[in-house]
Amino acid sequence: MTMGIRPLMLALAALAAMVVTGCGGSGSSAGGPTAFDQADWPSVLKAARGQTVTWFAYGGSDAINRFIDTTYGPPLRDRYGITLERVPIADTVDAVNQVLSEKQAGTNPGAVDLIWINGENFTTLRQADMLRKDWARTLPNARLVDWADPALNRDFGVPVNDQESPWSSAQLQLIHDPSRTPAAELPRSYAQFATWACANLGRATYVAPGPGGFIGTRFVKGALYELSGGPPRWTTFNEARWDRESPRLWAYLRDLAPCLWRKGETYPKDENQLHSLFANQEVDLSLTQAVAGPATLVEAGTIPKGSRTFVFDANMIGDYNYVAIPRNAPHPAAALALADLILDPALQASQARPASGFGLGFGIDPTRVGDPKARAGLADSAASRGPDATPIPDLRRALAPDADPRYQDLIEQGWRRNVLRGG
Amino acid sequence: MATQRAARGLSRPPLSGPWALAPAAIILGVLVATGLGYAVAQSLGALPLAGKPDVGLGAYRTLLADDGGDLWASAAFTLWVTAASTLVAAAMALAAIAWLDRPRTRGRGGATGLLHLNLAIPHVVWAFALLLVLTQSGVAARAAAAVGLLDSPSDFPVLVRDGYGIGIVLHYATKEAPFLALVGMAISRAQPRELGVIAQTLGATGLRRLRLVTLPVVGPGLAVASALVFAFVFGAYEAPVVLGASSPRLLSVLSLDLFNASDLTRRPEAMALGVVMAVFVVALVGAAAFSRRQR
Amino acid sequence: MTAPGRRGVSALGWLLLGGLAVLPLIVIGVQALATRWFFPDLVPQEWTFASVRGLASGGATRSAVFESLVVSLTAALASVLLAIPAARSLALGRLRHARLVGLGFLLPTVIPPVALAMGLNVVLLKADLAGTRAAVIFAHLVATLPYAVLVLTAALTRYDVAYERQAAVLGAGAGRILGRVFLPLALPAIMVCAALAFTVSWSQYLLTLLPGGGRVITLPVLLLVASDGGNPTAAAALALATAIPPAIAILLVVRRLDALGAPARPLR
Repeated sequence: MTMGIRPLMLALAALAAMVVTGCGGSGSSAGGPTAFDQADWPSVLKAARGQTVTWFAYGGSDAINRFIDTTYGPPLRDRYGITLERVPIADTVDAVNQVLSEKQAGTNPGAVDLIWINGENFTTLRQADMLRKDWARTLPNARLVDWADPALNRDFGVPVNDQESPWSSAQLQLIHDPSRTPAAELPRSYAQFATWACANLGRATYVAPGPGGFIGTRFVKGALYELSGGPPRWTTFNEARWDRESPRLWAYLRDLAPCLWRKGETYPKDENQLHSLFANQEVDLSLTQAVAGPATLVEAGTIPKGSRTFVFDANMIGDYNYVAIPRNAPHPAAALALADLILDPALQASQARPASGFGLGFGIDPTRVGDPKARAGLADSAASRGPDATPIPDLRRALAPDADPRYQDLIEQGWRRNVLRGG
Repeated sequence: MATQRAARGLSRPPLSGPWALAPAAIILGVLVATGLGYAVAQSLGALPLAGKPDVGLGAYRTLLADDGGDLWASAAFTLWVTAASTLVAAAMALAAIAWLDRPRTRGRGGATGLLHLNLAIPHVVWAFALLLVLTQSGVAARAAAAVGLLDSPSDFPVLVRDGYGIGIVLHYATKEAPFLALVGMAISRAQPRELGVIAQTLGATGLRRLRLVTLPVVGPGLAVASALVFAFVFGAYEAPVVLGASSPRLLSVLSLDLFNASDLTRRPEAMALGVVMAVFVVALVGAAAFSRRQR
Repeated sequence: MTAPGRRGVSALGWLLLGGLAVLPLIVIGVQALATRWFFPDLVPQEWTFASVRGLASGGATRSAVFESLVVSLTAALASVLLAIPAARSLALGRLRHARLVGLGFLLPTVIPPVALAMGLNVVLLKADLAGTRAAVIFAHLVATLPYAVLVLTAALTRYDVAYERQAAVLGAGAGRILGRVFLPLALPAIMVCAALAFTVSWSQYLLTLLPGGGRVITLPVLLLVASDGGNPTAAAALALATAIPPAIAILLVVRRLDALGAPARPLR
C-alpha cells in the first residue's frame, strides 16, 4: 500500500469532526432565554447582547441571501452585539415542519428564532399555537407601520393579530417588452386579457396555481374578483357563495385555455418558468410581484433589458410578507431586536432599491417617518425604481386584498380538476 | 493450538463469517424499517405531525376514491413512462453492445469511458441539460432557427414538459442505456471470445449477429438489469419535476405534492401513496426475479 | 456489410455517444458564462464571469459544494467500511444462501425513495435529528451501501483466498491478514467501490431534502430549485459544480472499473 496511513487518519478525523459539528439540529445555547420585559426595550437589547439569532429564510436565491447577510448582519453586530445566523431552507414549509415537530416532542427552547413567513405557513403555525404573541405592534419601529391597512393587518385574509411583523410588500403585476407589445395594446382587465390572448394565439399564459405557484393562484383570484363584482366579498369565507360563483371562474379560464401557450395543455409551474418563456419569446407577457420593478430581474439575467411592468386597472392582489417568532424560540430577545431592525427606515430604503437584489417594496408607511433624512432616503429609494417600473399611482389604484385562505385549496384543487384536465 | 488456528484459517478466512454481514445488514434494515415503518404508521393515521391520532384506513380510502381525479391518470402515466424508458434504454443498450462488441470496432476503451462518464452525471444535471437543449426555445430550436427551419419557438416540436412524458422518457432512456450497455458488455466479455469470432467467420453480420450471438449471451443478465431500471424509473422524482408537464404527474411527484400541501391532513394520503408504490414495485421485481429462478 | 457501411455505423455510434455524453455538458458550460442568452440567439450576446466570481467569493453554491463533499465523502467511506466485511462474508464465507442474501441487499434500491424519505423525515424530526449532516449521511446509506456491498462482492469472487491461507499457515493473525494481505490485494476494488458510492451519494435529491429538513443544502437540492430558470447563468454554474466531482471520481477509477467488469452503475 503506497498511501501512508497517517495522512489518511488525519483526513478521516477532520471529516468526522465536520460531520459531528455540522449544522446542528438545535444548536442549544447554554441556559434558557434571558429574562426581559418587552415594554422595557433597553432590557430587550441587554438580554439580546451576545446572542446568536437563527433566522430561517428561503435560501434558493443567491441575490436575496447576499442581501440579508450584508444588510442585516453588520448593523446587528455593531449596534446590538448580536450574531446573525441565516439558515437557508429549500422551502418555508421546512421551518414550519421543524417547529411543529418541536411542539410534538415538547422541545423548548427549539431551534428557530425567526422565520420569513406569510400565507398558509403563517396560518398553519398560528393554528398550532406555536407563534409568539403580543409583540409586533410594540416594537419601537412599529409606529412606522400602517396597522390600519387591511392588506397589512391580514395575511391571506387571516388577522395578523400581533403575531408577525411586516418586512416588505409585494403586488401582482404583469411584464411586457415594449418592442414586442406596445403599451397601447396591453390588456387592462381580465376580460381584455382573454381578448388579447385569443387575438395573439399562444402568446400568453399564467402560472399553474398550486405548490410553488402561488403567483398563479393570485392571478386566478383576481379573475374571480373581476367576474364576481370585486374583492370585498371574498375576504371572508362563504362556501355557498363559492359554489355559486366558481363555475363562472372555471368557464372563463376554460374558454381562455385554447388561446394560451401550448393551448393550455400545460402551464409554467412557477414564476421563473414563466419568465423563461417570456425571455425566450415563447410568450409575450409574464407575471411578477416585484414592487421595485423589473430591474432586479433584468440584472439577474432572468428577463431581457427593456422589459417593463404594468397592471390591470383593478383586482391586482397585493400584500405583505412578514417575520414571525416561534413560541419556543431560543433567543426571543435577539429575534425582537432583528424584527425591529428590519423596520429601520434606512434599511427599508435599501431593500426597495432594484440594486439590492431583493426587489420587494416597503413594509413601513413612508409618510409616518418623521426624520427628514430618513424620509429623503425612502423617497430616493422609490425614485430608483426607474421608468420601467409600474407607476406608484397605478399600483395603488389596482390594489386588491387577498382572499380568505380557505379559498386557496379550493382554487388550487378546483383549477386542476376544472381547467387543467376539465376542458 | 497453532495447528488448530491453521485449520480454522483453512476452513474460513477472517472477517467472512455470517456475522460479518451484521453491520451493513443492521444499518440498512433499521433505515428501511424505520423509514417505511413510519410511512405506514402515518398512512394509518398513527403518529400524526399535528393533532390527535386517528387510526384507520381513511387515508387509503380517500386516496383511492381519487376526488382530485389525479391518481389513476398518474398511475397509468407512470407505468407508461417507466415501461417506455426501460424498453428504449434496453434497445439502445443492445445496439451499443452490438456495435462495441464487434471485433473490428476501434476505440472501445474511449467509448466505454464515455458511457461511464454519462453514468456519473447526476440526474438533476442531466435533466437541466436536456431542458436547455430541447425546450421549444432551447439550443436545438435556436440552431433550427439559425438555418431558417423555423420562425417562432412554437414551430419547434414539443419534446419536454409535454403531456406524453416524451421529455422524461428521453431523460431516462439516455441515462439508463449506458448502464445497461455496460452491464451487457461486462457479461459478454466474460464469455469466450470464440463465439463472436465464429459468427464473424460464418458471415453473420448486423441483425443476425445481434439475434444469434449477442442476445442469447447478454439477454438474461440484461433482463435483470432492466428490472432494476424499471424499479428506479418507477420511483424517480428529479427528472419529472424538471421535464414533466403540469398534468399528468408521475406518482412520486404526486406523492410529494401531497406531502407538501399546506393542508397537513393530506400527509397520510401522501404516505399511503408511497406505501402503495413501494408494495407494488417490490412485488413486481420480486415476481420477475422469482419467475426467472423457476426457469 | 461493406466497409463504408461499417464505417458509417461507427461514425453514427460515435456521434450518438458524443451527443449523449458531451453535448449537453458543453451547452451547460456556455450557459454558465453567458447572461441574458435568449431565443433566437444561437451564440450568446453577453458574457459574464459573475457565476465564477460568485463561486469564488462564497455564496450558496460554495457552501453547497462543501456540504456535498462532506456528506458524500463520509457516506462513501462509511459504505466501504461496512461493505468490506459484508462482501467478504458473501464472497468468501461460503454462506448457504449467499445469492439470496445478495438479492436482499438489492431490496432497498428497489423501494421508491419518496416513500423512504417521507418516513425518515418524520422520524428524524421527532428525534430532533432532522437538519443534521449525520442524518443525511445515514439516509444516503440506503442508496450507497447496497451498491457498495454488491460491487465489492462481485469483485471479491475473483479474489484468490489462497494468499490469506498462506499467511494464516505462516502464523499471521486476522488483523495482519486483513491489513497486509487483503487490503493491498483488494485495494483497486475498494477504490472502485468508494468512487461509485461517492457518485451515488452525490446525486441524491429526495434522500437529502427530506431527512435534511431542507436545511442540509447540497448541490442537487440547490440545482433543482435553480433549474426553473430564475438565473440561468447561476443555475448552469451550479450544474457544472454538480457534474464535475463525480466525473472526476469515476475517471480516477475508470480503468479499474473496466478491468473489474463490475456492473458499474450508480443505481440512483
